[in-house]
Amino acid sequence: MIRIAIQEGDFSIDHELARIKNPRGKNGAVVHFVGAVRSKCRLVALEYECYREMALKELKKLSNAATKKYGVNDITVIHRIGILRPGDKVVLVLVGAPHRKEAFAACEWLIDNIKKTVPIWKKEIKRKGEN
Amino acid sequence: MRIKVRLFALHRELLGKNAVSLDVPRGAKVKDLKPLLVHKFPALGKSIKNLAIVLNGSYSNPDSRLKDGDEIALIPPVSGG
Repeated sequence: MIRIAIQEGDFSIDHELARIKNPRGKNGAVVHFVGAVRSKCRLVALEYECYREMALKELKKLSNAATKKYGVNDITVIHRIGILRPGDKVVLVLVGAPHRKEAFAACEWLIDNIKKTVPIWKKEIKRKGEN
Repeated sequence: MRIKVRLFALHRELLGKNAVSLDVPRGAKVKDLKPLLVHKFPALGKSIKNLAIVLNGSYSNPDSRLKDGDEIALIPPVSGG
C-alpha cells in the first residue's frame, strides 16, 4: 500500500504506523524516518510551499519506483507545508518490508530523492531585519 | 500563441505573482522559453539559468513544442525534506 500526503497539519507517527496493516506478518521490518526543523542561529521558522499537483505526482512516482527497486510492501510519505518552527516535524517516510535491509535502503533512497526531485521549497524566516 | 506560466518560491517573489501570461511565436519549443521569459520579465534575471520547466504537469523535454493555451511551471531548485 502506498499512502502519500501533503498537508499543513502535523502527523502522528503512531497513527501512521498503525495504518500499515500487516496481515500474516508480511512485514518483518517497518522503518521510519522523520525530518524536523533544525534549530540554528536567528532562525524563527521555515516556510514550506509546494507545487501540489506535481509534488503529489512525483511522490507517487518515487514510491512506485522504490517498491519496484527494493521489493517493499508498504510506503507512507507525508510532507508538511506552511510555517514550521524549530523542532516541528516536516516529513515522514515509512516503509514496511519483509526484511530490514530493504526497508532501511528504501527509506534512505526515498528521502534522498524527495529532496532532489519533488517540487517543494523552503524559505528561512529569520529575526526581523535578517531575512 | 499565449501560454500560462506558473511561478513558485523565488520566481513568485521576484515577479510578485503566482502566474503570468507569455506570448510565444508559433512553433516555439520549451528550450526557447528562457530567453523569452527574461526578455519579458527582466526581474527574473540570473535565476532563470537554474530552473527546470514543467509542461502541462510533467517535467519537459527541451524539444517539446508548445501549443496555444499550454501551462508551464518554472521550478527553481527544490529544497523539501
